[in-house]
Amino acid sequence: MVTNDSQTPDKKEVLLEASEIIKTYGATKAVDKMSVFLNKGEVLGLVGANGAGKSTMMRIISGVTKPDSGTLAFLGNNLNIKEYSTTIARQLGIRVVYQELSLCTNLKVYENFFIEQHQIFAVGNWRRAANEAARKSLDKVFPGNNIDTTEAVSNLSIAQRQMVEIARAACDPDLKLLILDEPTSSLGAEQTEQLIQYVLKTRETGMSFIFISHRLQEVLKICNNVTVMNNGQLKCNNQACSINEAILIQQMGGVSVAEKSLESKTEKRTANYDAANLKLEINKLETDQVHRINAKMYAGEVIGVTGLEGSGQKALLNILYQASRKTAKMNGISIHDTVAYVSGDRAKEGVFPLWSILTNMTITTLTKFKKDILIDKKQEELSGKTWYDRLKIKASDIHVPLTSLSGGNQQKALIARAFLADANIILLDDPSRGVDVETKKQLAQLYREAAAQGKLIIWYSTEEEELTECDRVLVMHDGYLVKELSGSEITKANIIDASFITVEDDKKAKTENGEKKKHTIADFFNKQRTAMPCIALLLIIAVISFVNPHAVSNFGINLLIGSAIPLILASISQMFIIAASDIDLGMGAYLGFANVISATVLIANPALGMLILVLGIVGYGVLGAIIHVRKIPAIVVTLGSSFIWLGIALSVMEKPGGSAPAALVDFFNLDFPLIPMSIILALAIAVISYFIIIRSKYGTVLRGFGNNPKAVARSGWSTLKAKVSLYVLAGFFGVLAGISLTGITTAADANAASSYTLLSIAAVVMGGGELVGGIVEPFGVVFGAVTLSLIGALVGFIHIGSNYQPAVQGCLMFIILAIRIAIRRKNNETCY
Amino acid sequence: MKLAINNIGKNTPWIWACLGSLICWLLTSLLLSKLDFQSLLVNAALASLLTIVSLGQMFAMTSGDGGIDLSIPYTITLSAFLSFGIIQGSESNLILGMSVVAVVGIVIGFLNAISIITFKIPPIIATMAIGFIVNSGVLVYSSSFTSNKTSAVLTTIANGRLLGIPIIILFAIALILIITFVFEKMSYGRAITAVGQNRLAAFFAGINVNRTIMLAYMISGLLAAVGGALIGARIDGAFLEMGQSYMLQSVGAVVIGGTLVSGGKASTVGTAFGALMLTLMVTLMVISRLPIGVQYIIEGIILILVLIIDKPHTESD
Amino acid sequence: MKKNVSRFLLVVLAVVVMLTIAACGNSQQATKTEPNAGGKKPVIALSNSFYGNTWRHQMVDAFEAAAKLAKAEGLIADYIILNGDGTQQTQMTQMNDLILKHVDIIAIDSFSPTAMNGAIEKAEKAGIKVLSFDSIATEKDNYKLNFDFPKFGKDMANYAVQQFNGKANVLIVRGVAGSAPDNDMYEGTMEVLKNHPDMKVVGTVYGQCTTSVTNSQISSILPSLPNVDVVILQSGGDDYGAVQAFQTAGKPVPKILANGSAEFVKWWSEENKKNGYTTWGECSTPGIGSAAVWLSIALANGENVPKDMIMPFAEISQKDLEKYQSMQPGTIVSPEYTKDWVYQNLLNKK
Repeated sequence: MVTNDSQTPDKKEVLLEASEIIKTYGATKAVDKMSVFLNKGEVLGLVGANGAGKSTMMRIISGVTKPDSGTLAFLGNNLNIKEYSTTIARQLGIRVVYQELSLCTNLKVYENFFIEQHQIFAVGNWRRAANEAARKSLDKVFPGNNIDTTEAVSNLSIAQRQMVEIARAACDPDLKLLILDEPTSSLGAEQTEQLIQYVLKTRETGMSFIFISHRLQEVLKICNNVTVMNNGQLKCNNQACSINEAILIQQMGGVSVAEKSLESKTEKRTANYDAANLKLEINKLETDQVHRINAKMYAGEVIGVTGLEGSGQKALLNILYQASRKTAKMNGISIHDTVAYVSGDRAKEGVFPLWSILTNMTITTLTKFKKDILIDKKQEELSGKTWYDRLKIKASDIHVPLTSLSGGNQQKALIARAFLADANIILLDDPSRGVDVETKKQLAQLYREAAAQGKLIIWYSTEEEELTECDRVLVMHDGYLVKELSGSEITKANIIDASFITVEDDKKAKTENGEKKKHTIADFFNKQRTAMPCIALLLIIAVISFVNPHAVSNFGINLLIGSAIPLILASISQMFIIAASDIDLGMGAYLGFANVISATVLIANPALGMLILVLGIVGYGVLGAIIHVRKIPAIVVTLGSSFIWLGIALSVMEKPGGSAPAALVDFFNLDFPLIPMSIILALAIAVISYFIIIRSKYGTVLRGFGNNPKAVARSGWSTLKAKVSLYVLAGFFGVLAGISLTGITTAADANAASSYTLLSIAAVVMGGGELVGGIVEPFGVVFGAVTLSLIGALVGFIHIGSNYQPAVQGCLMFIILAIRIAIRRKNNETCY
Repeated sequence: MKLAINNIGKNTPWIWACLGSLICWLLTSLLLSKLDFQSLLVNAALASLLTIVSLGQMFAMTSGDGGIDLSIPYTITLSAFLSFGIIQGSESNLILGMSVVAVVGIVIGFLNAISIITFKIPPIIATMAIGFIVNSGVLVYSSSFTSNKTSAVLTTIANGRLLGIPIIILFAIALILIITFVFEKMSYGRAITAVGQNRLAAFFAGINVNRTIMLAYMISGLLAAVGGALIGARIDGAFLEMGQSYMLQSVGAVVIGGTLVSGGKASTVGTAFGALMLTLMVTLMVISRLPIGVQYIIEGIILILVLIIDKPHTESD
Repeated sequence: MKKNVSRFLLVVLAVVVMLTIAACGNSQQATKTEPNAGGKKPVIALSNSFYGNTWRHQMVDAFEAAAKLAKAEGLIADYIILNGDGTQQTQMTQMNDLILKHVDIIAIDSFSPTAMNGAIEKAEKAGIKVLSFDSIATEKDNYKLNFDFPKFGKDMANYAVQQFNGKANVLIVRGVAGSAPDNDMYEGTMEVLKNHPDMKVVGTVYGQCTTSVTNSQISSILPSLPNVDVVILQSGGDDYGAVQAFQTAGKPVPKILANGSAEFVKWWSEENKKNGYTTWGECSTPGIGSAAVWLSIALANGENVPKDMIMPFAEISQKDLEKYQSMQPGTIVSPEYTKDWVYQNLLNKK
């Protein structure tokens, strides 16, 4: 064992010292008495096998995870670990680039910089400042990058997003320690080299880094010291100059040759490689993520799939499963039996959070393979119980919610799900992540037994030593199958060795992929969300002008668009709610409320009227707060509130009447010589709301919130404030819509606006907005609203029987939306 | 103690709607200064019609991802017209009439599902657009409509009494039992709650996600259609706009009953109690003789309060 | 920044296209002024806010029948019918549409007394005469053919008072909450009942002019009500909904004032044969549509038309029952109004 404890040179200042850190999750000790030591101006490499606890350690240092015990000191000051948080870490100058990216994908690159870097907030022309900061930082770290900082993040490749994420953390002027967690795994060769150069250069200025990577050459190149972790513990500290790759691999758990021979297989496994036993055949499989895969898999085999994380193992499993779900033969894959899948990403693709252990276990067997429509509860409980006992799931009862269990036990239940289903091919997607050693043994035994019964187990694992139980192990690197190990060749050392094999053309292909830009129609509409509603509007106007030439006179346009103003405003109001990924079902009633108040109280007593309208806006803010704090779906709260608005309106005014303030009527009847007033008004609304939600500082934050509340909260913004702000804005524009209704109809009617609720939602969606994800387009919304109101006119212009008018209206809406979404979705089709 | 109360709410999500119904009924009785079981029975009968329709809505909402069926009111009206138009008061046409009604309801549900699954239009807008188209169907059919008689069987179900209990209540209870059975004992019930909770996990667990969603909307259409025929039988006629009041009421009943708007958890009994509570609340308001405006305000406040108290037990993060 | 530029370009493009079209349109308009000046036959139009209920359906049919007749007689060049979907938004665009078509007369069954005022003003500015009927618009310069809703309420109440000698339990079914006719009728009824303290209003429900709602609203409070002697209602179809509510509850059907639905009339006559049940009623008749046609033509011809006209209700009494027996289900009692009738009863009756 080589242990070169690094000596601290006296002249160097100690930046970070973490010692005796312990963190346990359930039964597993993720971090066990781990210590990290780092000087100012140095780079510390942190390496270790998968699941060694590196990421957990980094989360503790950055304040995301609270350790059970241990001490943290930064620049000589002891930190209180109980109070330590991300905010404090940020203040100290500690930043992390996470493996899972935390960008708001609906925002532009530089806007993401701005959300994270609060110092830009104070600047006058913040857009330019943020853009320059982004540009500068990107160029500083990755010179010659082709990233357009004004591009939306959703249009960037994964590698580009990673670059943005790194550059964003690096541009903080107060930065003292930057933690890079596996930063190069998705970067191409050139960018990786650039990042290395950047780190080497910047450490001279006194900045420190912690660099976590599987790519040992990189680690050795840039780190002053390399700390090796194994099973959550400190294995050894090395000075980078005194070690080489082979030593590191050995320290990480690659066993020495002597030990290798000691390991003997418990039993002899011989699978029958008959054609009749062939369960799965992959032939020259080529996709975005995996390349040129060939393999034949037989019944009775346990086949391991491994490699460095993100080398395409998971993608391969996914492709196999999807192929099994389609009746037709996918090119390159033929599957000859039933397939079940065990997911490793439990929360995202495994667990049904509202269900008990039992129900979670039996779902596949009940819905997929059993052709019975009825559930035999006794049978279900019996078979569930068998596996519950067999896998020794630790829980008080099989009927408690699955989410109340520790991760490892949850995982056991998911494995039980696949085995209960009695499928003959079982795909295991890193199922032992976060599972204790004993369970691992137990599971491995389970797989062997299943194989002995004639099943085929395909097992992707990030923990190499587990795979020694396999008959064959396929090692992947960058989407290529680089090595097949079988029988006694399967050792941890061999696997780790093989993981670093590179295929000739891989880097090149990757860079090309990253840089390739597809200029398709879909891309255009994806980027120009306003284009589609604009085209729809122009088409409708064209049809109308064809049918009735008078309609396109100054007067005609004024008429047609003028009457759409309330709908435009209502849709803008709805847009703010939709920006928060909510839906407002009370919009119409709220308009009625504003309409009635502005036509009655506001005239009789302007001060009181204003007060009531302001209270209405406050009411919206309160709704937002209720929805946020109690986590109630907006759709029903606003449904309830719609009764309140209607009630108030009816209480104020029992029957339609009232009158509009003279100034208001005059305003709407203003005549401009050249451009119709209504167009100016519509555009003004679009421009103003565009400035509020798209251009303004806080508007940008608000959209980020709608897309990725977690990321926005991580950057130090209050999510409650964001929610309330959006609702208040909605309330404000709702009041404007109500007032405009008064101006145009010159009177009020509590019921008049009820139809605006659904129309406004339709307008936002037509205008390029998405009901989730914080994506809204004010100009699109205005176009959408005008289009919707013109559909009504169009139906009148072309002589259609009264009975068919609603159908035409419905069909037109349907067609516009269907085209819009069909074009858009081509890119990211969902898999099921 | 507090824990115990929380647990009650967790395992029996309908408890709040049930309590709400009870309170509304007691308040009504207080206003009338007598415990009025007859009133409870009649309201339950009315709630039964709402329940039938709301149970369909429940399927749509349970399928998750913003699932909602806004075409329900138009389906109700269309099926009422169809049931009258085809049955024409002759019992021999009953089976034909009800089959047509059922098929039409299922087809509407199918169209909804297609627009949601294939064209990826958000459910709230897709079902609205389809609703418009159905509405045209109603207008066209009603203009050539000549019947004023439906089947005596339907009328008996809608209006008759058995041992003093309105048959429609028994019908609704039977339906509740069937649907509870679907959710408790049938694999489809498992599939739809799985799809509503986590579509990706459902896919990896081997569920045919698209077919499950499609069935949910078809069931919604079917129940709206059956409800429409019965509502028509109850008022003994088909009238335009007769389904309109069921649009938001059905959503309200489902949500008050403890079904999750985000999908993945349905409460059949809760939906029935939700419908009962809404009906009793309206009755209470009418009997209170408050001005209509105040009635609406109170209804709104009660609705929001119920939602705040009945904290949804969704994502535990 | 490039993306922003192209986005703005798009917007600018849209505006430019719209303006060019506008400019073209302007020149077109200039060459086509005063299209109907030279004694040409008029074009009349109907803007109907809502087409979703039986009454409106019948009204439109009546309008169309009369307009067809007028066209055949050569009184008008053409007619246009636009039906809304019950939203203020749609009727507004349709009014705009008619204005742009330069029709001569617009007959409008308005969304609400106030919601169309702005649009009507615009029409009048464009030189189009507007006649609002049934659901009239309060705008000051348009011609109004109104049902006398307060009188309807009073008639109903008076009949009830007279039948029960001023002492009875009354159930009132109102219409659409917050609408003008509902309010007027209700006030008319209450004005009469106020003077008869023994006429006790035991319940008030909002039927929303929808049979199913009326039915369930009455049903839900019926068990908690004392014996109801008479039901006063507002709109066709509600009368039958009330009958059903009482029958379902197993209670004797009280005196329900007729509102003219075919179903009710049929039930009444059957019941009358069985046990002599009798009642009386009025209804606002959809035949007003035909009256609107003849008035529009009179307006177009520049005849002297009073600004405010009152449309009588159709009375339904025991003796008329026979003549309504052949009514189509789902319709409402609706006499036809001929041209002569209009001239006699509306135009010359100052």
